[in-house]
Amino acid sequence: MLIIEDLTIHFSTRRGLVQALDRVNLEIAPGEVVGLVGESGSGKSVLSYAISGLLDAAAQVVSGRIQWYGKTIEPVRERRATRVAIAQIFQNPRGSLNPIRSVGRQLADVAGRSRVKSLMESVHLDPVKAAQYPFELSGGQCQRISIALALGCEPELLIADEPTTGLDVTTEAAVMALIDELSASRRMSTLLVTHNLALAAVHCDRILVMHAGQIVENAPVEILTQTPRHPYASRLLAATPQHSATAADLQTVPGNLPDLAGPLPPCRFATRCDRRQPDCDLTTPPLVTIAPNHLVACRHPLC
Amino acid sequence: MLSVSGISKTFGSRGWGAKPVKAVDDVSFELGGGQSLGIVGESGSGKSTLARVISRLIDPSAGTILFEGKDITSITPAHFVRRPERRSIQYVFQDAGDNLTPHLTAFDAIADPLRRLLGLKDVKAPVEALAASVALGKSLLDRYPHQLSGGQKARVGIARALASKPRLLILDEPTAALDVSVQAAVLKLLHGLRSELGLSYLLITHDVEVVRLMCERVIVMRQGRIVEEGATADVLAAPKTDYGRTLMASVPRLKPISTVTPGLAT
Repeated sequence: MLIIEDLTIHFSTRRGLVQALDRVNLEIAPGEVVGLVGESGSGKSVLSYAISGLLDAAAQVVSGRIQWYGKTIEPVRERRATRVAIAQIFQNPRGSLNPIRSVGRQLADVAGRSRVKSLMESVHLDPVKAAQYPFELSGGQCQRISIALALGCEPELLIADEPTTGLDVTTEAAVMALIDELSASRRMSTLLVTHNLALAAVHCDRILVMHAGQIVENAPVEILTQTPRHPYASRLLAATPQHSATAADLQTVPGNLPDLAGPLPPCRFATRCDRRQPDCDLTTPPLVTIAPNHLVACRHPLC
Repeated sequence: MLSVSGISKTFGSRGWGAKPVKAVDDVSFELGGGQSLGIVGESGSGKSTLARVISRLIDPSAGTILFEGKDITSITPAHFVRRPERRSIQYVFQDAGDNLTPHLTAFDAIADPLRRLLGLKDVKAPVEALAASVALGKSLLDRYPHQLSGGQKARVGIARALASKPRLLILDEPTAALDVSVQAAVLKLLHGLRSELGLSYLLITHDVEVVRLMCERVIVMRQGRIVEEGATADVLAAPKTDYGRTLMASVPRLKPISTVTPGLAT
């Protein structure tokens, strides 16, 4: 069971203090698949790195904590002492593999030699490729090796950061079916970080929508994809290709993410929002429960 | 406009006991002026190799390519650079971020084909016009690729391809690296440019939804061969082959939509 309470993380950079995460709260139960969606730059990867304990020393934990079965775990790499059964699938598969060891050996390192063949088959790779090195494989094949590596350690929590970007749909379906199966059979919890809302809708129990470092909506998948309450969630949904009949009808989310290094307005979505009222500029809207299991951070939610 | 017949491409073997790979196997299709054709298939199905053969970046092993009635198959890639057809066929590469020269500003990246292919000296006005046509702000033209966002880099890549006034654009996964909102903006832009400039598109992707929005016709490739071909709406709604059905069923869907049979939606 993963519980994150009020997690605020800043980074000190040459451009100033970047307010990457702001009071993030979330829970992932055993066996649950939770989706985390939002635009590039909204803080999805920072949050996933924090859970995996891979943030570098520039990260300052301003408030909050991450708890794993009651034990507090450190988001910064140098300070993480406890070993936790968390595995991460990284966005850049080629960069996350060891370039001078064959992929079969890398799999044997985490899972033992006897399981290499079955792991490769589980991600639709021909086991003869075990003798090859990452540079000999395509991006999609490297991606599948890194997925096999993550699943090979039989984690209790899987952080999958854009696990299927760059894979074709048939392989994507196979990989996601494997994750679904592990969640069900071994009660593995999964945080699926993606910007593909349709993918999250099919495979997740719950979806969290992140905007500029804040979680703005947290709802069961059917509710979020049918009747989102936060204006940003609804805009994001409208931008998916499936919501348009023709290319001319495609909707984009207006404006850009605010600069997280600068002074931020109380509601970080206000400048992009068509429902903005004077009271939006007074205080930051808290993430409040508006229906069972449904949290929204907006003063004027959609109904 | 573009007529491809019997194209095959076999890559020679490298290393001990390696067998030659037949990446593209006897592919034929026609693309009319102003039309848009999608090529879908899984990675390794030969989509990108086919596109590279057509844009004459590599030689085919067999077959002919007619572009506007002229046979361009026999021109070697080294000579094709200096041919007038090079201006008419332009390639927008997968992942613009990796395919822009890191030490050229956005301005120079767009000016480069103007200088080299059209021989223009004064490029300021045309570069600004091209940037405007892809909705890239003037202030961004002085920036280097690492200072641009993914969507901005994609726009530079498209502006660069449009510089020589091509008639055929080959788009290789134009939006794969972009998030959903930026993808919507870039697809809208590409759609608008096509009708505005009367371009033909050859769009390579594994995203069936992108094909549905952008292309009238679609080809499904597998292991170098065409396994299915037809009007996009027909192929998406009622694929004829087992592979086509598997492909359509693998697409994650938010809710049933009109062009897809409800049985396939989840």
